[in-house]
Amino acid sequence: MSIQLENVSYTYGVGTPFEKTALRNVTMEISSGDFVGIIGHTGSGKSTLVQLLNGLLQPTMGQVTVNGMDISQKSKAAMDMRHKVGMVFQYPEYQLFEETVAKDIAFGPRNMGLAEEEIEQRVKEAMEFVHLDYEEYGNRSPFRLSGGQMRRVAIAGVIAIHPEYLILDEPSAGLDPVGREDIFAEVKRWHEEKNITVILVSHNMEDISHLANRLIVLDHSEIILDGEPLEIFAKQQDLLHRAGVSVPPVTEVLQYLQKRGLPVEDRVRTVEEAAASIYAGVRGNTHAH
Amino acid sequence: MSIPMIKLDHMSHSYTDEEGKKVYAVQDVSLSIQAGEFVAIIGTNGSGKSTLAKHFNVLLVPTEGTCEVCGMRTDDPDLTWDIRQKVGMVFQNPDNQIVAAIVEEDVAFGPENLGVPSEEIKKRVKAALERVNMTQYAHHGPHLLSGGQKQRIAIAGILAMQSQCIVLDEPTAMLDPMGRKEVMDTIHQLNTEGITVILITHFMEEAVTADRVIVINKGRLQMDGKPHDIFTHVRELKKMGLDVPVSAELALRLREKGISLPDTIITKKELGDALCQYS
Amino acid sequence: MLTDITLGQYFPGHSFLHKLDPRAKIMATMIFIIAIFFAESIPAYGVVTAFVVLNFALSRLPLKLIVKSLKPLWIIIVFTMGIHIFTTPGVVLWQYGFLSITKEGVYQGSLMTARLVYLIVFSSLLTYTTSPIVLTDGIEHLLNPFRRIGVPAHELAMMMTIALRFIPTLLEETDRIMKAQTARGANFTSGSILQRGKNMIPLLVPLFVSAFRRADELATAMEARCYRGGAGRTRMNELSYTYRDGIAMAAIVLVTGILIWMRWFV
Repeated sequence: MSIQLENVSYTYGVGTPFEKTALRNVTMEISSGDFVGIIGHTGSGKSTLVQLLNGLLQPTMGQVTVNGMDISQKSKAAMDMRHKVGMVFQYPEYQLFEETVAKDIAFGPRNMGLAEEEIEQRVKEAMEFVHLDYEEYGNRSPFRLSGGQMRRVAIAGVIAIHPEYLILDEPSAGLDPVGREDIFAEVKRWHEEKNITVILVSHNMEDISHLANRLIVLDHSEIILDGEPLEIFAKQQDLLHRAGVSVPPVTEVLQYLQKRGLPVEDRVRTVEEAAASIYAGVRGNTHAH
Repeated sequence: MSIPMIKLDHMSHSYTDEEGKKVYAVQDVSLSIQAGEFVAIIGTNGSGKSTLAKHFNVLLVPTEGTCEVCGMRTDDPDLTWDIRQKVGMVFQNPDNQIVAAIVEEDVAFGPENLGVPSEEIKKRVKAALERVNMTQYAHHGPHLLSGGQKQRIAIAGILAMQSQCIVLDEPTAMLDPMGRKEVMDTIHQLNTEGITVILITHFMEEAVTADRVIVINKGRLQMDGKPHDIFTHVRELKKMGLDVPVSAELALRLREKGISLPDTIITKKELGDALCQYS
Repeated sequence: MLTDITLGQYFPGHSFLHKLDPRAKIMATMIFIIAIFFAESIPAYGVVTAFVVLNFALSRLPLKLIVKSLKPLWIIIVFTMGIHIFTTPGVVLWQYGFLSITKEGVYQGSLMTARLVYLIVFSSLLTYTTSPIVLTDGIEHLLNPFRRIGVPAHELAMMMTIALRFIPTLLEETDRIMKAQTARGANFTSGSILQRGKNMIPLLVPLFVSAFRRADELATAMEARCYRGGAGRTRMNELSYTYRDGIAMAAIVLVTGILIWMRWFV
């Protein structure tokens, strides 16, 4: 069970004077259960890549298969398979349109042709999942909610189609530190509880380092790094720098302290681990004297 | 003592909510900002920081207390337009503050509103675009610019009005890291040239570069001081829902583990210096 | 890529027509549209044709642009020709059943069609040689004198400028919303007309909500930059007439004069 890209390229405006290759020769596989972080400078091909994963864009070269099926086909089976890859865009609250929260969340399931009882069940489930009380908010107009609540309604709308793979494009955009923490805690929960394969597109390496077990770095339409985040932070700083991205703040501090001669371990994810690493390094150092 | 650029005296802004209750968005804030300062105002969403900022150019007026800009009271309607000429504002959404279909025409919008003569406007627009490094985009359509470039155009539009103070309300919230850097570099440069900068943000890495940090929480002024004095209060800031520099947090945790370090650390260099001394 | 928002209509250049003041061009176009209706004889049409060709040569635009301007309206052109050919009574040239083509019909049809074509071509010359922003400026200036009778010239011009400015931005947003809804299974491409109309709701509602929000934020930003309506405003780029505009206006008045003379005094 995976999403596979085989020699995939995407070029905009083929044959016109505005022809531009957004993605070049990508071969990769996202396995079920992964938590993938995708990072890259603006224009590196990030959004093109994720839109190929769920069929919003068709490759101009190569093939995209989801769970073994080529999703560029026009068959119903291919369309159903495309729906297994859900996508939450940036500022998703801007896509809300229905009269009530429940109706908006039901939009996806209804488009899939499900029965009414099933739809209602999914709406309730999705709202519970994003911590929005069905009784209290179900019948309210989505436009009367706070920004954060609207975002959760939008996300619930995508969860309700029961995707196996979930693409999130900068889910914390515009949120303050508390909002960011909340939403990533939620994402982590979905990944663990529902075993949804998550693909997180972000500019923030810190968020990726906290959650992802795999990091993909894009630079000028190509994948230049693909592997375990901590490995990449430790060994590939030059490539990261060239790609216009940086290591997470804790890693940066630890690597700086290493240069200053302190024996600290830099393969950590959190501030707690970093503090422990420095403590060990400093204590070890003083004992050596 | 010269007249402060901004002076708030026990200022509050309240409104009545849907249930008829009186709610304070900003409560009993007193502060004074001098010309030439670079002040960061930080707080979470809903803390009242944006509401506060909107008083500086009379988009809002106090419901209690006073707000003065260069000695002019904001509750005097005759002074509104003079105040708005002195204090310009850059908003969060880069698109929704650009009026014209060509960059140089948008920069000209402010001076046109002030009735500045045509030749003078041309000079000001040219100079403003140079100061924000956007001269080569003068004839572009704004939709072709990146977020960071659009915000620089907005800043140029204020420079063309010859404002003395720029208030930026979360100007980088919708930008990517490169855009954020462009905007921050620009406003720091302008500050060295004498422009008073008031930056409303929740990004700690931006606030840390300011001369002075003001912390707003639940509508009240919580802290006011230099970055070093503010960001070392790690626990307090985190309780308010704010970020702290990672070095400050590491220093606190190490102190709690028994390693004695000075309590003024907020940068990695300071942390490095202190740890090297310790061992 | 064009660096401005010309919607593909404006064709930048440095010709005589490009350098004319937009007010002169607008007035000349309006006068010409009226003047065409004074032409009723072949020699008169000859004058008109010569004038159109002259202007086209002055514009230095490629011929294919003219063809492009006629394309969207070819149905109307053919229809006009057809109506006149088949329904004008007179000397019959060709007959098939109840369809008959008359000499008068061909004559009338050709003249009417020519009139229509010249109208379209001349107006296109206006939009091809004048950028929308400059055009808006020209319209504002021409409407200004009518402010005393209540025409909100400045407000109309401001509305047009802002609309032009936001067209690319709103198009981008439409694309984004469409993608987001498609990812939820929305279908914008197939179905009956009624079906497709209903399917537009998930696209139109968010777009409208967003547009209102933008308008609100933009208004605040404009006020922050001291905007308080048209009173007392100056302009960075002021319009000014040159000798070229004098020549252009003289030319159009001359042509109109000739056509009037040919219509009533020859």
